[in-house]
Amino acid sequence: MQDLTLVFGMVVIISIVIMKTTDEDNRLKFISGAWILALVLTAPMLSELWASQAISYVDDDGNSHDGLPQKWDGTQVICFDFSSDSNHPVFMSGTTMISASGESISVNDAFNGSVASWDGSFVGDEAMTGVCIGGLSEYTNGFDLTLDAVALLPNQDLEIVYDIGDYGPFVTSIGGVAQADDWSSWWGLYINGAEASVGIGDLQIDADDVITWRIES
Amino acid sequence: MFDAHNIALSATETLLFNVAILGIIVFALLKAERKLDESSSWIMLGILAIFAIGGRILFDPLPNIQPVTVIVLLTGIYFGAPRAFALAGIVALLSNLLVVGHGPWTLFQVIGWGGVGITGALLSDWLQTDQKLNVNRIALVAFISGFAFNWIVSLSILIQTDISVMLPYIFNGLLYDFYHATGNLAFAAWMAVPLGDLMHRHRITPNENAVSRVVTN
Repeated sequence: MQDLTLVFGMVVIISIVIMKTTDEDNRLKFISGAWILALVLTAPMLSELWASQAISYVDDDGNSHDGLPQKWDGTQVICFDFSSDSNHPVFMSGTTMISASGESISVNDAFNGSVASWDGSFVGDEAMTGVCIGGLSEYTNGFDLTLDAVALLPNQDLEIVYDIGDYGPFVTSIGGVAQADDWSSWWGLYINGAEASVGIGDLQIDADDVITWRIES
Repeated sequence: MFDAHNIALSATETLLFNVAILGIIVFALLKAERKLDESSSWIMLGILAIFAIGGRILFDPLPNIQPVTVIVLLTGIYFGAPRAFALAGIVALLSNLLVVGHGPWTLFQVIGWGGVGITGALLSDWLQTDQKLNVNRIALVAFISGFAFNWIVSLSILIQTDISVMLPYIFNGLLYDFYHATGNLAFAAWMAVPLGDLMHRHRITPNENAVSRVVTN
């Protein structure tokens, strides 16, 4: 943040100097050039800052913790929903709630995950099959949260397979349930019940966010 | 064995190579242009399409900075709305197919850039003073076009989602809209006059043709 203030403070000063010293034909050329240079150099920092602002704007409507254990209120939770595939060998029915210490707390047979499906329709009527890991805190990045949460489970029950592409990590398989080669199924990412607008590697999370991975078809 | 096609380049290095390639293309075309028939506006449109497609692909490493919007705007001013719209269509489709990615959004990009071309045609008189381009006014229109174009393209998400997602989506993209707008400002400052001169030489001038025909008779 301080670096950004410094860079853009300098660009403002440079712009003023150009305004005062350059003739009118060249003014815009040099000022726009300085701004482009600053924007390109700070692009990774700026986009991270912007993503964290944007996520607080699209905030939690307060319902995303419904159906989860009450002591998880105000904490970070990550859920894995296998319901449209239901081929997971361990999490075959209901939603297993697992604490931050890796212990199974309860199984909720009616948890719907409050997830709107990728095409905007609400899938809330259907009970979710899978697992939620909650009571987590202090994560700021979705990918870190995902990897650390699955590491809490024994036997690699939720092993994550991912590719690193041009847009960061891309999850192709969770707990042995892989996306189809022809894209007839894939792993969708949601935050507080809404489809995430960025990839998991760029997903900035707040203290009480609920992330859901859901196999879609 | 040394594999010459397997060199990993950083984004900056890729950009430098791309700028070198673009420089060669522009230099060669400008050389060739001098030998062109004065009234060959169609060949001029072809050259503009190559500039725009080449520029869009080669600037791809920079976030949302590309010359297409300004080229289409200038085409609107000099060649009118229909040809600017045709150019927008060809540039959007070909550059998406070649590199950037083709999908339902291509249609929205064609409409967006076509709209920029129409704006150029409609404001043609205001954007020129005494037969010369008014660079400051063009830069202003180009800057606003950056936001307008991106918002039109954002409408493409309505194919998959409902309207409630629109506002957060637009908010999320504002930073990238700003990159596009600032890029347009720089392209307008640096390119408007040289490209304008080029287009002016091959502008369709029906009056001159009519006069010469009368004279030869």
